[in-house]
Amino acid sequence: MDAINGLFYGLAVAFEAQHLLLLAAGCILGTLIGVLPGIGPVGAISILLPLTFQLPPAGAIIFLAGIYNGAMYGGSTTSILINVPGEAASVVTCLDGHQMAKKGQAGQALGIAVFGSFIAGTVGLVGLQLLAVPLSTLALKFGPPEYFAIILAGFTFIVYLAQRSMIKAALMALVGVAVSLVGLDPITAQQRMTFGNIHLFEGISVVPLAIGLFGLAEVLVNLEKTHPVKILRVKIRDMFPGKKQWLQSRYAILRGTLIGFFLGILPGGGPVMSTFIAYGVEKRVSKNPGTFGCGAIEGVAAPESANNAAASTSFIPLLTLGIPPNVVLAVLLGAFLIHGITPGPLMVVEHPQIFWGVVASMYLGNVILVVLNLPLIPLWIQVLRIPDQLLYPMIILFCLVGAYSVSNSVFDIGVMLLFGVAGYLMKKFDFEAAPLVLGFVLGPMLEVNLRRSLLMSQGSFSIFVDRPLAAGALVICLILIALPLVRRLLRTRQS
Amino acid sequence: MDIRNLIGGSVCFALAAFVVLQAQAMGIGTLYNPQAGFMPGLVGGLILLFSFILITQALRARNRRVRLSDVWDTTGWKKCLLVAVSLALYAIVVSPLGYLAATFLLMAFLLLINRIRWWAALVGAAGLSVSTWGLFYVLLKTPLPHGAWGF
Repeated sequence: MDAINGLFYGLAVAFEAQHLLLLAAGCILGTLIGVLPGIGPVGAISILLPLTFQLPPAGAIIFLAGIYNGAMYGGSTTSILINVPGEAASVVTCLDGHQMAKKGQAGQALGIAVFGSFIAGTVGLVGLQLLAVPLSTLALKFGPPEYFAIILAGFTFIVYLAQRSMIKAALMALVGVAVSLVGLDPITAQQRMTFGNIHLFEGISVVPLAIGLFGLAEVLVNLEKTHPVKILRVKIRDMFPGKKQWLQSRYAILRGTLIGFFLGILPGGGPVMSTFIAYGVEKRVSKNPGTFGCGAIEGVAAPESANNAAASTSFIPLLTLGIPPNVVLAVLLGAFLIHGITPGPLMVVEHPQIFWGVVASMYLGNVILVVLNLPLIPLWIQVLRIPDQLLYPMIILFCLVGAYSVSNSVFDIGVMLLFGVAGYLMKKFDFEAAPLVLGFVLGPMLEVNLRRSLLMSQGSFSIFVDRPLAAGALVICLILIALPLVRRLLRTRQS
Repeated sequence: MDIRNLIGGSVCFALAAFVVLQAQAMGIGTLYNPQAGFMPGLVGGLILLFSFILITQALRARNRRVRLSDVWDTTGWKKCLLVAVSLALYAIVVSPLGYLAATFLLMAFLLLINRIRWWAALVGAAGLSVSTWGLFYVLLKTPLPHGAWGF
């Protein structure tokens, strides 16, 4: 099925009443989660995953993808109105969005954020639609050495693009791999680090781990603070950007879209990283860089476009190679597996209903989010008035039920609590949780493909050099490792 | 000295040492026939290396000193500890007490430590436990723990 026919087929799936309702529910819930500070899309998808257990796989994934896209849209509202980012991809929007709101331009800031997101998200989806089939066809030719080299390149990107220390990011990714090794050995079925506990034979599930690291840990960190929400009293008007605003932000939207498009595909990139880079690029190319931080509309348009483009294109490696490029997609991979679907090159052939249904529903989701978001902004402002004392116990309760429901096991509540406390301490000690989850998800794939490659080559590493694609991916790894070392050397010489 | 990285690096070092020992016990195998301990050994070795680098960096960080008090600069951690302990107790009692009773107790406790009035905390706890029971057990057919009373 080609891209055009696939899209029409997907639209037929997405327009089924149940799927349409699930999509709308996912978009609204996602926006709500994006609006509420303290819990991001990773925690939200993990916590709400049990709601999908009774649904057919297509409906479940459409619902979860709706949550992801909704969170990307909703995060800007709190950034602009209260200067508190609803989730990590909206941190940069605070800088100029809130300044615009202070100047009485809240409506314009919210409007350009929504329309920029719509344009960028749609462009990202066109890329997903057009690239998916050729990439899937190409991926069918990959063997274990290619997969190993690509996943290793993914790890290197995760470390290279780390928001803080690269050493710490590498450590966290490796700890994630180590945790993923708990359970039965995938080739010999020997027990590994299970301590004879029957609950550990199948390994640790990604859902309680992610709920702990991103749901419970966030709540624990927020419990420490007492920050009464001060909502700016602004009149939300003129939300449709005028000619002047469009002219000012057109290139910012274009550049943000392109940056998000490519960073979304790269492992370790994703929406958060793309917003910082898009903002930095915009400031650098601006004729008036001094206006940034004081309410420049380009400072809202670029990051908001970037995070939505990245959110769309990050589905490309997951759906075509089965490799999640960021932590949200890693949890979504877990959701796919729970529903009995293995994303990868065969997905477009074996599960066209889910593949094209998800792509088409994301197009529809973009429209739904524009239509719903602007009129519902007054409602989101009211939601922000829910006191933390009520909100956090509610989130904790959903964390508990979410962790329990994956395998109806109290043991998973313990796992969630363990990783919740670990995540809290990691935040205190300035260690990122995202590389750990990505390492945890990619670890088993890395191991199986490495061992299969070594078995194929009878222990020779030349198998990774003889095959062009594997060799290319390893060269990328080497360049990424060498770059910071060369930069450091040059800096030392200069000083 | 950067105490955060020193502690973080040391914890990772200890974890890696455990993984390497486990890998040895499992059997690492050879390159042409890797065994169950192959990957744990490789990963454990890399964690040892990176945590050693982090510890060294932390000890040599003279121009940016980070003390433990910089990490624990708030008093809110006591509340976090209370929440963590209450969740651990919840995990222990939820099977014998059942979902409704255990959740009611946990929610009442969490609302009370957040300075909600006692009657509001009790009403809120009852509302939250019953509504989530209705959503997950009745509507979504999740087999929540029943306890001795059957609910």
